[in-house]
Amino acid sequence: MRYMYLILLTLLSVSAHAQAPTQERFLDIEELTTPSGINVWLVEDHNVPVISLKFAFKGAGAVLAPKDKQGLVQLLSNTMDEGAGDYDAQSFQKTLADNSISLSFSSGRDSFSGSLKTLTATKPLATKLLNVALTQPRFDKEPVERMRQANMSRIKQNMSSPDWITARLMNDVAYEGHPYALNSGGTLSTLTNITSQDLKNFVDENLTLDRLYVSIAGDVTKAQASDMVDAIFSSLPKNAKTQEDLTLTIQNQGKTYLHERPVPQASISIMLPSVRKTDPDYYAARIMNHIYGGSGFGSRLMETIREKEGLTYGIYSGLFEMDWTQGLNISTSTRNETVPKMLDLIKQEATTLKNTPISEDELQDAKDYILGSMPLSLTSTGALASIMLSLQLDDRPSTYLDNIDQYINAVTINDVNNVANKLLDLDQAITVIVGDPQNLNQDQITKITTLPNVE
Amino acid sequence: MVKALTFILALVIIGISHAQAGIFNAQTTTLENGLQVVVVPNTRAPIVHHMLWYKAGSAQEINGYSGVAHFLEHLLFKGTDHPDRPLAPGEFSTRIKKLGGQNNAFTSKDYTAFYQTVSKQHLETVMQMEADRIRHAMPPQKHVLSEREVVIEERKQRTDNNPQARFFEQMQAALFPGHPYGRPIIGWDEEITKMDHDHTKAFYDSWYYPNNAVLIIAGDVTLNEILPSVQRIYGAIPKGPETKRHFPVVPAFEGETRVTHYDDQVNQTLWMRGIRAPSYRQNKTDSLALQVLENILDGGATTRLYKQLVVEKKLAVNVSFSYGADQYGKSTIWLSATPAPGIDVDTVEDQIEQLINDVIETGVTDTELTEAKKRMQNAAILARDSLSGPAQIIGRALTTGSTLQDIETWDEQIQSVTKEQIQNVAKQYLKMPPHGKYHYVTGVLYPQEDKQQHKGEGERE
Repeated sequence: MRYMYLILLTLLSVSAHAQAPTQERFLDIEELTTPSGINVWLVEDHNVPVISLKFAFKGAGAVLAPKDKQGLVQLLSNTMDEGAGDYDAQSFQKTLADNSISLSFSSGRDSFSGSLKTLTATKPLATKLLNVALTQPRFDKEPVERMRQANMSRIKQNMSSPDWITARLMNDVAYEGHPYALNSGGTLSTLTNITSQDLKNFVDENLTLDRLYVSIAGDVTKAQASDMVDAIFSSLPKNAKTQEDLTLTIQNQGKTYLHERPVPQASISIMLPSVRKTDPDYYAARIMNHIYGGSGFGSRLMETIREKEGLTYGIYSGLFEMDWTQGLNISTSTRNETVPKMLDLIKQEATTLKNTPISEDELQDAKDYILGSMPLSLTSTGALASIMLSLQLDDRPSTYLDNIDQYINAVTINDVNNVANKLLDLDQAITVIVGDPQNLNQDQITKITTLPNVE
Repeated sequence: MVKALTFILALVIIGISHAQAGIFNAQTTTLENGLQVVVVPNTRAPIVHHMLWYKAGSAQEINGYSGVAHFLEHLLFKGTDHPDRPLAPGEFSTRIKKLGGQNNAFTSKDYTAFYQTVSKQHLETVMQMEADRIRHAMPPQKHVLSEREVVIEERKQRTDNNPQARFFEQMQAALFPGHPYGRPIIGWDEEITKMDHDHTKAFYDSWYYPNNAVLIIAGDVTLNEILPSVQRIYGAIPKGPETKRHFPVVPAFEGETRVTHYDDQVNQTLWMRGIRAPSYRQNKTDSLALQVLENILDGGATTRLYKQLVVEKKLAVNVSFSYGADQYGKSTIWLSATPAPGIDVDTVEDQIEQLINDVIETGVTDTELTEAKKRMQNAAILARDSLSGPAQIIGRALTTGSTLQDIETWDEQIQSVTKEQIQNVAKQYLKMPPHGKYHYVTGVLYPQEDKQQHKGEGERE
């Protein structure tokens, strides 16, 4: 569910010529600038006495962690709420829990982000706690060590998940030579290299106002939102170092990798290059993906491979975009015996989509779903804040969702057919298989015995 | 026509009860055919979350046919043979998609639920589609067979490929021998490979009726507003036979039961203990006390279990105590822990037992009780900041024997729990032998390489 929602957001793209809204807005986003100069996007919603604030430091992600300190930003996200200012780890956590304030940080490849959710009554305390966490984190020995152990335990747990191993291997080969190829969650050995000083340095150098994006939704007025944001963030350092260009072309295209595991079902991941959200083909790509495998039930892959053939519990395709690359991926699993058939059918459906124009109905159904389902994400203050933050990180105007229908509706059958031919070249795909697949042509397969960047 | 209108009006005026100042302020009524209808108004966006819950799940399966309840859930997407509105296999989901909606379903031990989220203007359409499959789901044989393959793949993905899931499946089987809660919801591999049309249809014909279901609609509507269409669409389905859920007794064990797994895909030891305890339906007072105890022991990073075992003593990397009140039959308290590197699993087990013994012998403190109650009260407010969350909470409770009043007043009931009651439930349900008979199972999942070492040590206790 969460995954689907992220995909949806990823797919909503930007255009330079958004027109002024002529009808009721999709989401009543207000933009404001605080006295200290921070831009904030806000949706006032007084239904429930709850406020959600979300923020991100764009560029301050795992991409900045050195190879021998993989997991640095992950460990930071786990320890920033474990003691700050006068609060030690337990008193900080206890103050949050006693007041039912949810505060969490998370590390992505491209950015470091956080989420604060509080009842209206505890807004001042929540504001203070997030401020001290960001400006005076302690990184005491005890919580850093405890979180290091928790991360190592998570890795050991993941090592028994074929799906996780598949994703890990795909990152390693598709992004070879780039920081994206490293394990953003850390490895069993690199986690032990990270010191409290490393965490402090990262905060000082990278959590800066020039990288900050903030959104708020809930039981708060414009003036209160402005005060709250300044109280939390205004004392952060102004600027970070300029980030170097890390633009990446997806590597190892056309190759197939196998990691053998004695499990009854093989996990399969396939990746292809794709277009960026700013590309003129982007909306056609989005509709093409919806029809190919993006929509779950009703998509070509799901209907053929699950509904007709019974080969899998699920198969999905999706477009993704990161700061320095973008692609289309397909993921599924099937019993070891049917892996060759699965791979053939995935390719066959791509060929059909390239060679035969989609029907008028299929095009309309895809448009109806993409536009009609947009309101379904407006379910909580947290969801509203997330939508606004994603729009900002993608450099879109706050009216973007009010106008997206014109970009989607402009796509034609021909556009979809052309973009299918441009993107779905399965001979150029990278394929990663984890399991014990049977009857697979072993000639062109690279076997990987040791998992890279795990231990 | 006039008569029908009068009847509907009467329902609107007399039949609807509003639980005053409840957590969700839900509105409810029951149709003449026995279908309970609950509306949770939420005006945040012009959308609705529409759910139909059946009071039947894997616990109602006949021995030898495990997985049938879940298989039926899948088959409800494989077409309907309603004379006026037939749907082809798969068409249910594709139609919802055309409406810009999302839909899915889930099966549990005590219930099976189907849901859609759509824009408000499509509510009647999804109501009609859902109502039609209460009695008209009839997939052709060939779709039954291909869907069985899908379920076998689902089992491999969820369970067979996952050593923790296989271990947990064995823990449940050991804790509830001969009882339907001991069966995996998805079914045993040997039995799901043999599932067929007739046995699944028999399950459908035993349980899928309006009088064995609860309709929950959360979103930008009120009961008054939608009752006429609910009445017209759902009210038209005839009442079915009375249903009654039956459970066998699970006697206390005469000796201690232990489950030991070694697995070559496992890289760290996992310790678990499942303890049988009453559900809310079975014993409200004890269940409420167990809920507060759960919060005192495992209500965050500063409550007893995590604080003592993970923060202070460094014996475990994680630890949890979880009690689910919403079961129609017996509930289970699950304790689990991952020992810290270099710490023996027996040490962790001893420490957890000692911590529980402290509660049994000296109870909990006033501060712990006050703080837990406050956290739980706040959780009730925060629960409203969601569209589907309240519908989930209400559906789970109503299909496991609670009333809407129970749900709406949950926070008040929690406030009434005393220290004495907490100590009492700890004594009654968590006290380990020699006092009383065994009603729990302990299990350890080890990495394969530990096996040789354990053999070298000789018999473990």
